[in-house]
This record gives sequence, structure tokens and C-alpha cells, in this order.
Amino acid sequence: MNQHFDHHGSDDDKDFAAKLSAFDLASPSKTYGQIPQQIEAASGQAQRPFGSWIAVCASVAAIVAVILVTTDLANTVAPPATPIAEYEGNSPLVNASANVDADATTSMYQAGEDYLVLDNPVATLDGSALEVVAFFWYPCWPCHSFEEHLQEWETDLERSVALTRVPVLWSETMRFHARAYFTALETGVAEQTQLPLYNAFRKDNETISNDEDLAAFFSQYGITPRATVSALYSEAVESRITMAEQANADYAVQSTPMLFVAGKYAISPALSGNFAKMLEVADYLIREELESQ
Amino acid sequence: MSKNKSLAPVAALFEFRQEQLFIAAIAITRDRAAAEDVVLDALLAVSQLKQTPDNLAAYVFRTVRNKALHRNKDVQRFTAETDCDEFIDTRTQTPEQQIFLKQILTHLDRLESNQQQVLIMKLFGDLSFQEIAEVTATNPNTVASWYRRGLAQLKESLHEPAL
Repeated sequence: MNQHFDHHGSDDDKDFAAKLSAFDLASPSKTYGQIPQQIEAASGQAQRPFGSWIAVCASVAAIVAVILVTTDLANTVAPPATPIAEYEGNSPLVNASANVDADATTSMYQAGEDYLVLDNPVATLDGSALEVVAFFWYPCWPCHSFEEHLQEWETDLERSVALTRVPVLWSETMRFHARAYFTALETGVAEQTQLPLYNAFRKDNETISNDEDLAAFFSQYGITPRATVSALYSEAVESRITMAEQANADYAVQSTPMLFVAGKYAISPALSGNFAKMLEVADYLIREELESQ
Repeated sequence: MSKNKSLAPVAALFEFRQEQLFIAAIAITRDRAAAEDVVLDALLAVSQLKQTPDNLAAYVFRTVRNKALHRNKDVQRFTAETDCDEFIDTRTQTPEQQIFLKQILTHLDRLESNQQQVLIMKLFGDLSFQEIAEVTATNPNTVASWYRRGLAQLKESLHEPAL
């Protein structure tokens, strides 16, 4: 990844850089992980969503390694949002929370509280169905946990609802991850590889860092290295990446995981508090949309 | 700016970028405790804004960088002899390696500020050029250029001593 930028010059320079890289920076102290609590204390805030959220943050610093390897626990904990976007642009989410439905007080879930209403609705990719778009990024461990919920939820979706996964594309590294996802789609193994790809791209144990690694990964699923490399840079994958870029720009998504329903509503862990509720809110919005059609 | 002000985005940012924030800070402060203070100060400052910046990550990284630079103006200039242990984990180094390390830090301190920071983030923090570009609000190609020039100068000044 980042091969375009990360060449080090001559072999001598590489050797020299390798010698220097052998030294590790000093690690932060144990109290460094408690910065969120310090901020909360200093700010004197005790908002409901953030109160529960910050408790997770506090514990995550200590147990993140455990969470990463214990899927069951990750399923039950409600990790907050999200890796951070570097997207520069006007987000349709800006001011979105102000768009509260007039009769929202009588609804099960409230705009501005449980979900956001986009200022400018986005044209959906699949016009034949009510579309739910899930933005994700493989190294994002909340995305990994959410994916497990999403797969279960997906099995019960009505036929008139289409779930589309879209990788976020904020950097060249993310483009490589997106290429891996779309290659899985093109080679017909996406259902089998989606969760294993999360494991392979884990930040603390990344096992795929280039095309060769990816070819070796897909070979476990019956895809030959030649077929993988061919798919990786195929027109079909390029086209999917272009569509994903457009979706990234249209939705101006700034965190993952993130759900968008019918191009109108945004649902995030930061608002919902946990993944199960995210999907409950999605169900609610889908029902509302279908009934209004 | 978002009207939906909450501490959650700041906490989320810290959760997922705490390592990079620390590296961005220590690349300038060369001091572990100061780096932690800088990150805390920056996040506190951002959390107290009336409105959340649209690009929160970029804003926080710029704030960390500015606060670290500002902090350096107020303290004695870095010296390898006094701050080495606070900057690099020396516990696993042999005495020879520690001597070499102090030489590196001494010569590093003579490079231009941008080159120093990029070298530290790249070599010791293992950040990619893309990530460093995000931290420094710079083009990745510029970062790569700083890195190559800085590495060449550092190598020359050290005369490539063996480890």
C-alpha cells in the first residue's frame, strides 16, 4: 500500500532507513488512553449518548486487543463511531440534524436524535428498490463488528429493499481495500470473503498489503492468482470504484460504519449508541418509506 | 460547521487516531509527557468549540501540530542527551545502539523542522506518506520530498556508522 509514495530511494537509503526504523518511539503512558474522560470532565457534559459512549471509549483503550480477537464480545459491546474522514467538501450531513420532522415527537425514532435527515437527498444507485447503503472500511474494527450484525440483518430484508456496501475512499490505502472488496464481488466470493477480509486487514495484524498478498488470500477461495490480478485492475472493478467514489462524494460520509436509507436518512453508531439499534432504526425508516410509496 | 455539537466525535477521533495523534505531537515535542499534554490540550480546545469543524480530523491534527510548535517555543530546545529516553524506547537497546541513537537525534535536530518531523513520523512512527500528509496538511509528494532530502542529509552527517 502507498507504494506510489513510500519508496525510499536507493538500496543504501533503504538500509539506512531500516536501521533507524529499528528504534521504537516511546509509548504513551497508561493515562493517555483516559483523555476522553478528562475532556468529558473538563467539559462538564453528561449527554446520554455520549455518557454510555465514553464508557466504551475508556474500556476500549485497555481491552481493544481482546475485543479484536473475541468476536462474541465485540458483538455485544456497542462500539462507538468510527475512523475519521479526511473528506474535504460540503457534507449533506451538515445541519442535517436541524431537519426534524414536524410529527417526529410521535415517531418511535426521532430525526436528529436517532438518525439524521439529509439536507439534499442523494440519488440511489439502484432505482428499482429501496436502497440501503452501508459505508465501511476493512481496518475499522467497529465496521467488522457491524458487518456481522449486518449479514444477519440482510437475510431478513424484504425483496423490495437492496443493501449496497460501499467502501470509503479517503486515501490511496483505502482505494486498495476497496479494490479488494470489488475484486471479491467480481470473482463471486464476496459473501465468503467479507469477514475474513476484515481479519486480514486488521490494523494490528495486517496480512494483506499488496496485490500478491491479495492473490494468495483469494486462492484460499478457489480463485487463481491470475484471475485475482486480472480482476483487480479490470474495467468492472474500475467502474465499481468510480461509482463508489461518486457515492462517497454524494453522501460525503465522514465516519464508518454508516448507513443511509433511501438516500435520505443517515444512521451512525454515534447517534444510535449500538449496532442493534442502528439496524432497528433502519428497519423503522424502511417501513416508513415503503408505507409512503 | 455542524450545529450538532457533541463530544462524541472528538472521543471517536481519539479512539481511532490516538496513536497518530501521539506521534504527530512527539515528532515535534520529542518528549512523551509533553506530547500527551499537547494532545489533551488540542482535544480540549476542539471540544470547547461552539461548533464541530466539518473536517474534524484535519482540524484536530492541525491543532495538535500548532500547540506542539507553540509549546516548543516555551521550553528549552531539545537535546539528545537529556530527552533521549523520553523520546525513544531505549529499554531494549544495547549500549552501542543507544550511543548511535543519541547521535541520530543530535543530527536530526540540525535538519529543517519539516524534515525532522517527517523522518520521525515515517521512521519511528511508521506512518505512511499519505498519513503524514494528512497530519501536516501537506501534499504526500511534498512529504516524500522532505523525507528523501532529510534522510540523505542525516545519512551524510552520520557517515553511516554501523549499528
